[in-house]
Amino acid sequence: MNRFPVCALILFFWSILFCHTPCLANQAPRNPNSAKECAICHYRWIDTFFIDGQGTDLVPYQETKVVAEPGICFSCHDGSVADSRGKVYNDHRHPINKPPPADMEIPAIFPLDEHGNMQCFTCHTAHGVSSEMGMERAVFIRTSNNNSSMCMMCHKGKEGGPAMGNHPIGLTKRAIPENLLSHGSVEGSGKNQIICQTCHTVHGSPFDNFLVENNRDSAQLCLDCHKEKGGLLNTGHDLRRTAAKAKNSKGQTPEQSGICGACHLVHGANKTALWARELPAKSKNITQDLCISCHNKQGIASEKALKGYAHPVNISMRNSGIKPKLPTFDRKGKRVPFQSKEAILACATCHDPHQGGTARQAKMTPPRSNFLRIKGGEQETLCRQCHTRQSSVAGSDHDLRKSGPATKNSKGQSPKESDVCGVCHLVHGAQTQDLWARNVSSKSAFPAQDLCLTCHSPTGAGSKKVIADHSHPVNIDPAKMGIRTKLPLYNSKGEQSDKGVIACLTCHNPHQWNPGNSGDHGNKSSEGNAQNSFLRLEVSPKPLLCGNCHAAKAYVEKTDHDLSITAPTATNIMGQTPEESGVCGVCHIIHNGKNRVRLWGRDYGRGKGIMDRMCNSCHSETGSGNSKVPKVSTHPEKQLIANPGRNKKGKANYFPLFNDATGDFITIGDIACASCHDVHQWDPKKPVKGNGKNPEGKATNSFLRMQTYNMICKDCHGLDSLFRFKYYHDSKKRTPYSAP
Amino acid sequence: MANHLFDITDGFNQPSDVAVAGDGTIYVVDGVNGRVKAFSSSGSFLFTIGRPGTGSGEFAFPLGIGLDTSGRIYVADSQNHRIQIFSATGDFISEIPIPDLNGKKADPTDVVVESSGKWCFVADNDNHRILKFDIASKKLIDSYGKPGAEKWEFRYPFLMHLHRDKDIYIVDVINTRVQVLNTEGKFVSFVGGWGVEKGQFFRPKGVTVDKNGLSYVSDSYMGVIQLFNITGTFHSVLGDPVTGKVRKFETPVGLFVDDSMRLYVVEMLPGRISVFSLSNLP
Repeated sequence: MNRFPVCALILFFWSILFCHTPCLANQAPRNPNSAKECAICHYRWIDTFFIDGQGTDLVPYQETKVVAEPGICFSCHDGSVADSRGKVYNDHRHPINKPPPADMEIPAIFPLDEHGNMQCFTCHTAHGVSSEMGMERAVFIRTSNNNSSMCMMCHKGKEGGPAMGNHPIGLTKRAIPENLLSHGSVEGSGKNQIICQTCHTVHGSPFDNFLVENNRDSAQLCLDCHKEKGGLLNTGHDLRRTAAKAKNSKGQTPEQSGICGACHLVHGANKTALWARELPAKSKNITQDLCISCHNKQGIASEKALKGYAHPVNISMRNSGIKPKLPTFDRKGKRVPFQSKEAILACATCHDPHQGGTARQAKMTPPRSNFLRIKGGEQETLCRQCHTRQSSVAGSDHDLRKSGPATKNSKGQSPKESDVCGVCHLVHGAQTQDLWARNVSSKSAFPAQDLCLTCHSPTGAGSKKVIADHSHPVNIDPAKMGIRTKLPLYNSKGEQSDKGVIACLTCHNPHQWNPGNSGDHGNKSSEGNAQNSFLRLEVSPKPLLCGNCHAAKAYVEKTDHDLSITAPTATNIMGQTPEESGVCGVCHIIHNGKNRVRLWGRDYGRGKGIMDRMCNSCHSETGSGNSKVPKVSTHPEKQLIANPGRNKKGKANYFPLFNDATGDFITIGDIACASCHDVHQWDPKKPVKGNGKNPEGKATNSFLRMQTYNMICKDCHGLDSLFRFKYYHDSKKRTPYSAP
Repeated sequence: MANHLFDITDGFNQPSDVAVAGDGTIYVVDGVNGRVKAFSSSGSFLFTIGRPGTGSGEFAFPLGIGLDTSGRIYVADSQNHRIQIFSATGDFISEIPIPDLNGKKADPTDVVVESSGKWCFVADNDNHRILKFDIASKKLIDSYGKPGAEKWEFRYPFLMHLHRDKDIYIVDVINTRVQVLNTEGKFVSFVGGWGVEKGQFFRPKGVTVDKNGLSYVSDSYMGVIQLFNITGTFHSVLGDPVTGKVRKFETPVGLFVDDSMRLYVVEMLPGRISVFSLSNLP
C-alpha cells in the first residue's frame, strides 16, 4: 500500500483541523512529525504496525483500522484535549458498536465498520468540517447538518408533519422556549424553526430517545412548548395514574411513553392529532372517536363512557345565532371556524382534555378535573357561551349554591359540586331526554311542571314558594279557550310545543329574575314583585305577560281601572301597591290568593252577587273608587233576565250573566255590574288601552259593553230602553217596570 | 511488580485524578458527577466535597487534584476556570480564578502545590501553558510554555506531579511525552516519546513520582503504566506478579504513589481506583 500520498492528504486536513482547535488563538505547532500527526488518530499507521507489521511488549499488533472508534475518540475527549465526558460519554447517546436498524438505509457517505456497526466515524471525521456551520457548532461531521439535514439522511419518514404522523418541523409561530434552549435544544436557521435537535441531542442526553429534556414523569420537554397542556398532570387524563397498564399504539405503557405519549406520538402517529391510541379503521367521525377510543364500554375510561342522555354533539350551530368562544371541529378532527359548513359541536367544544380542574379540584387528592374549557372553574362560564340568556340565573334565587346549598341533584351532587347549571341540568348521564338533573317522577302526567315542583314543594329548597290553592290554572290548553299566545306551552313529555298546555314555564323564565334586566339577579329584592320574580315578561308597569293570553283584558292599562294611575297607594289583599302588583295584580292574585273566584285580590264589598261585591270593593264610600259609587246599582231582582244568544264572549252583543255565589256564567239570572260593564276596556268601540287622563265617562264608554242599551235592554224596555239605560243608576228616575 | 490491594468503586462517573494525604486519606476527583470523594486508606467512604454548579464549593467537570503538606485540597475546577481550595475535611476555603489568554478561556486541568503552600502550578490545557500562582494573593506570578512541540512548548498539558518542590512533571498529551520543568520554569528533561514501544506513549495521561525518584506514566489507550528513571530513561512496565506479564488497565489516567509505596491508579471509563503495593523495585 502506498502510504505516503494518503498521509500527505491527511496531513493537509489535519492542519485544517488543528488550526481550528483551541490553539488557534496562539500558535500552530512547528515542524510536526507527519507520521505522528496522522497516526495520532490512525493508530493502525504507527510504524511498528504499519511498516514492521508486528506488536510490541506493550500492545498487540493492530491489524485493522481503529481510527474514530470509541476508544480513540475518548483518548482525547476524556478531558486531556477536549472534555466530552459529560456530553458524549455520559448516559445515553446515539448508538455505536451496533448495526443500524434493518429497515434503515444508510447513505454511502456514512461508513460503518467492518462488522456493519455504527461507530463515531460513521458520522464524524476530522477531515470534513461543514464550513457553513461555523466553528462554534462544528463537530467534524461528514456533511452539513444545517437544519438537521444530515439527521434526516438516515432517519427518513420523520418529517412531513401531522400529515405524515409526525410532529411538525420547520418554521412555527411558537417561539422555542428559553428553558428548552437552556437544556441544549437547538433552533434552526430560521426564527422559531423546529429541527431534529430542537428535541433531540445526539450526545449527552440522560433521557429516552436522546431527548434534550425529560419527557417521562412531568413530560417537561413537551410542556416547555405546550405549556397550556400541563393542566392534565395527575388528573384522570394522566394515564400513569388512571391506566398505568394501558398501552398506546406502540405498545408502550404511560410510564414508558411518558404522560403525553400515552395519547400522542411524536413520530409514527395517527394523522389526526398525532393520536397514539387505536381508532376505528373506517371512522366517519374521527373527532368524536378520539374521545371514544378510551371512553367506551370496553375502553380504559369505561367508567366515564357516555351513559343515558347527554348534551347533543355532532350538530352544526352556524345558523343558531350564537357566537360562542369555543372551538368547533370538522369530522376529521380538524379545528374549523364556527361558521364553517363542516363545523360541528364536538366533545372538544366543551372539553379540553388537557385542562386542569378548578382551584378547589386541584387541591383534591388525587386532583380532579372535568376538563371543561373554562377558566376559573365555573361551569356557568362555559354554558353561557351558547346559552347566553340562561346565564342570568347565576346569583339569583335559582342559583342553589346560594339559596339551596344542601340540596342534591339526581347524581347526589350538591350545587357547589354540580355548579349552578348542573343543579337542574345534566350534560351527561341524564335519565331523561330533557337532561333534567332532578328526580322527577317518571309517572308524572305533567313533567314540565314537576321539575319546578321538585324544589317548590313543602320539603324542597323552594318550600317558601310553594304553589297552593287559588292560583292561576296550569295544565290547560289555551287554544281550547280561544286564547292565542306567544308564550311557550309544553306537551306531556315536557317538551315545548305549540300544541301544549300552560305550565309554570309558560309565565316564568327560571333563568332570569328580571325580564327587563338580565343583570338584575334579585339580590336587593329577593321577595320579588310583578316586575321580576322570574316572570317571562313584565307585569308592571305594563301588563305584557298577562296580556299575552288575556289580550282584551290588557286594555285596562292606563284606564281608570289602572290603579297605578287612579289609586297608586291602594294595596291589594297581599299588601302590594299597584306598582308592585302590576295593573292586573291589583285585582287578581296569581298564586296563593285568598279568593277562588276570579282569583280576586281585594276584599269584597257589599252586594248581592259576588261579581257586584268585587266591583264594590273599590266603588264604595271607603274604596279607591268612592267617586264612582252609584246610588242604585242593581236591576230590580226577580225579573230574571235570559241571555241566550248574547252569552258568546267576543260578540258585539255579549251580555254575560253570573251566578251570584260562584261568579260562573249562567244564562238566566240577575243583571250584575259586569253584565253591562267590561271592567278592562274603557270604550267598547276602541279596543285599546287608556290614555291615562282619567276622563269623565258617558254612555258610549265608561267601561260599558258594546250596545248594551240597544240590545238586551230593548228586549224588555223597547224604545224606552235608552232612557232607562241612561238613568240606570239614577234612583229618582227609576220607576217600577211593567212588563209589556 | 504491583500487588493488587483493593479497588474503590463508589458511583464514580469517569473519575480522572487521585491524591493521597499524609494521613492516608484518598481523594478522588469524580468530575462528571461534579464532586470530590474522600476515602480512608482502606478504601472506606468518608465524605463528599461539592456538587455540580458554579458557586463556591461547586464544580463543573473538575479534572485534577493536588494537596499541600498541611492537608489542604486543591481542585482544578476546569469548566469553572478556577482552582478551588478546601480544608482536609472538605470545607471551602478560597478559589483562584485562572485568567484567559487573549480572550480564550483558561482550561485548568491540574494543579500541584509547593509543600509550603506558597505557590501552586496550574496546567492550562487549552492554552498550552503552565501558570504559577501566589496562593495567598491569588496573583499570577509566571507563565511557562507556549504551543508547540519543542522544549518548553506544549500541546495540551494535562496532569502533573511536583517532585520535591523542585521539578514539575507535566504530561504533554499530544506531544506524547512528559516534560519536566523546574519551579522556575526552566526546562529539565523529557520523559518518553512517541510510539508504542517500551518507553513510548500513544496517549500519556497521568504522572507521579515515588520517593525514590522513579516516575510512573499512564497511557490511557495502550492501557499500561511505565516507569522511568529520574534521568528520564525507561525503567520498566508495571507488571502483574501473578502472570508475570504487563499489567493492563482500562483507560488509566491519574496516578499517585504515596510514601508507603502504594500506587493508586484511576481508571476512567470503568470508574475505578485500583490500589497496588509496589515491590521488587530497585
